[in-house]
Amino acid sequence: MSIYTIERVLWDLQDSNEKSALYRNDPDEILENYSLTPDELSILSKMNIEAMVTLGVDQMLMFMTWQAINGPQGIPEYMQRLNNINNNN
Amino acid sequence: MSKIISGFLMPHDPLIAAMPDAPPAEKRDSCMNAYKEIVEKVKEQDIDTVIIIGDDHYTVNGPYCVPQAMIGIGDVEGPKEEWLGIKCEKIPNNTSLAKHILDYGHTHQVDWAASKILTVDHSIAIPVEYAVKPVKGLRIIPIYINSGVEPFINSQRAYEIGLSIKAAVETWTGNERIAVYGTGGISHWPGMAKMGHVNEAWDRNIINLITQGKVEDLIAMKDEDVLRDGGNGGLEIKNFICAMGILDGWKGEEIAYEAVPEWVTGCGYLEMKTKA
Repeated sequence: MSIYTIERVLWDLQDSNEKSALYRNDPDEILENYSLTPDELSILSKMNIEAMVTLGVDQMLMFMTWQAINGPQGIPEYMQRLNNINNNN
Repeated sequence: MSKIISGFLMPHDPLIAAMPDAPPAEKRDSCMNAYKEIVEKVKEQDIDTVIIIGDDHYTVNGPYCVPQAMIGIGDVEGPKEEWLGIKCEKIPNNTSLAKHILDYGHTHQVDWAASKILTVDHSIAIPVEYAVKPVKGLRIIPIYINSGVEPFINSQRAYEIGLSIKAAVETWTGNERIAVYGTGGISHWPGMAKMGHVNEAWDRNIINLITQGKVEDLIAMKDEDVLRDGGNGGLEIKNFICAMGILDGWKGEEIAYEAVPEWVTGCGYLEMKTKA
């Protein structure tokens, strides 16, 4: 498990409209292009931000990638999930 | 001989462009009038080059390379982020002075990363939009200090890099009239659960230290304390510290401050002035 590998994929997805569109269509298909461990694949294919926070993945990058994939309408869900993590800790 | 004429600290908040009408009109107008005041001063001072200190937000370089300090010495365009609503276009760069700052640093213990083709993010593009473009003929020198992405630059190092830029300008044979823009901050938590929170008391303390010229107190702040009280975006005070290195010994004078939760940031504007 490498947070740098996760950050690499997040960066690629938010840096390219084409890649974020591919992810929206079928996450597993685009993630096949990376050498990922089963844990990394699971976290990224589900965009498991709770696990990413626990690992220490850069949250500004997480947020930008979430927006690139889900659009601004997805921000309330992102914030709700982050706040749930804090409330549960 | 080139001369540093003036210096200003200001926000580079992307939401200023992306969501201009989000805050109450009074706060928005206060911020936008502060940019206008800076523009008028720069016009009066006949400035021709602005050195802008910003930081990457995992937008320009990504995790493939995280330079501690980077200078644009060639083509500059921006912004990279389409969602700002600002058209991406070429930004005039003072390439000869930028190259001199690079060369001076490389022979005086600053290992600059050089960007020959730079697409800037909002940290450079917002100051350009509101405090450079309104001044005809103004060129920039874009500088990225790594205050936004781990591993963060050491604050003392950010200051020393500022001193190196100052020394480079003083050894340059050109005749530029230069302003320095330190951009960013003050408290904000981009991408974090506290995004939208503004710590006005902490912001006011930062402003007070700058107005007293106490850069050593800013440098002494531990990153973990800044992260706790000012957020991950609060570390952008390192950009201010770098600017205060270029403006060695200058003190700030507040132009405006607004806590703007709608823009998720404490927006501070200061004019830097010589002690004399």
